[in-house]
Amino acid sequence: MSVPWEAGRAWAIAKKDMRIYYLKPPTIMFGIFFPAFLFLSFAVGRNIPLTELIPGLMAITVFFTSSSIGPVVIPWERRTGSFERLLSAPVSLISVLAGKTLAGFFFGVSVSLVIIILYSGPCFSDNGVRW
Amino acid sequence: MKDMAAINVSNLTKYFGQLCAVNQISFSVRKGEIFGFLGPNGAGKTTIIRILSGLTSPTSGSAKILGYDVKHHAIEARMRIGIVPEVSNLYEEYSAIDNLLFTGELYGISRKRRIEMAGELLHIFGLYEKRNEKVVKFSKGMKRQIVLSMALMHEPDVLFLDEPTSGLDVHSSRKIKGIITGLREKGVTIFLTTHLMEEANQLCDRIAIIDHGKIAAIDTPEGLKGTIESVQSVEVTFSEAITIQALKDIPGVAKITGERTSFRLYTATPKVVIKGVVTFADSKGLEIMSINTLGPTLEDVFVEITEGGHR
Repeated sequence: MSVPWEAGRAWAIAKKDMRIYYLKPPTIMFGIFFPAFLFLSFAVGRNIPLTELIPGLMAITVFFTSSSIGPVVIPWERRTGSFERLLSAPVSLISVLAGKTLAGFFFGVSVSLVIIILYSGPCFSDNGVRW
Repeated sequence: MKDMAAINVSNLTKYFGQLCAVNQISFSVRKGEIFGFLGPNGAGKTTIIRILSGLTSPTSGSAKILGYDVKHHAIEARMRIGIVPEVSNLYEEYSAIDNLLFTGELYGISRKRRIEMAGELLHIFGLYEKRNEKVVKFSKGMKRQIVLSMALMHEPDVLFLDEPTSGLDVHSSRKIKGIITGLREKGVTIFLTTHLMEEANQLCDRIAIIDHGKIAAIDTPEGLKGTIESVQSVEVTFSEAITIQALKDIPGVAKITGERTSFRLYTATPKVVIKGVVTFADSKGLEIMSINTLGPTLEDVFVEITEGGHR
């Protein structure tokens, strides 16, 4: 089948995952709380400027948030049997996985954006801001 | 690619390690027929459905749906099939209509058409009023109906139903059976598995009995019943009590049970026995109060064919 077809189906799967799983407890746990607390454990009590902490936080967030969708959703759907629904649909396995990956990608991007927006003020206006 | 059969399976074999789940099975299903797969648990019914829907690949042999090989033309084949699996695998976090709309999108149906189709299907199943409720709150029967309507979103030519009514109440299963019959009238080919004899008898045009991964018999429900003729019987009630010995001379009788006035005569040729009974009654001056022929039930056939199974 054609590339636009496969892309369209992958996008449908990604949208579905975003709507259903972004607010699930395990996703929030691994995608938001985990990087946040990891960040705090680095930051609290140390005299490190925010400008140096933010890149670290970004790295942690991008890694954990993006990878919090697939490993949660795939076992979840395999258990309920709905993963088979995707496998028996007229799409290749690559597109199914691409859909799942896209959902993770957008989760990573959006959480990272929140961090950038929250801290862009203090970071860029005054490099001397301390935690 | 002109292939008249809706489903064509030849020499299909599937091994799970050492276990042979499907052993050299060949059969074909004509377009527009309801084909039933009947067998004990673990006979290989679900494995065959999984192979046909592309979820499991066969060890050897081939399977074609409307001429498309399920392995080499998987996407084309999958476009034409709808699947209702054994377990209702819908998205419980989604509302009824969202489940349908997502399936529509997965099969590449245009936005306008999928909204139209979802509404139509929900009306057919009488679930339109509940379209915005999350399906997690639905009963088992309602979930099953949603799964069936999801399978119909892209108007498949071939529909696979894996035990469509198992565990459902009478109302839900009647509704589903009604819809299955309606689909046949529209020309949809239906492949269903079940272990409910009555359901197979009512719905199916042809039935395959499968056991230990092999097809034990394949025929129409009536044809299958005919294969075990010894189970046919004539039930007769006379006006006066007679001894069982007196009936022994009636031609064609294999076995007699009963006492006093009512007897059951087992035979392979009920017509001959009925004539014999009538002549017998006339000669003895007896009146026949009632006479019935009892065909074997599909259950008799099933037990007979799958007998010796240790499941």
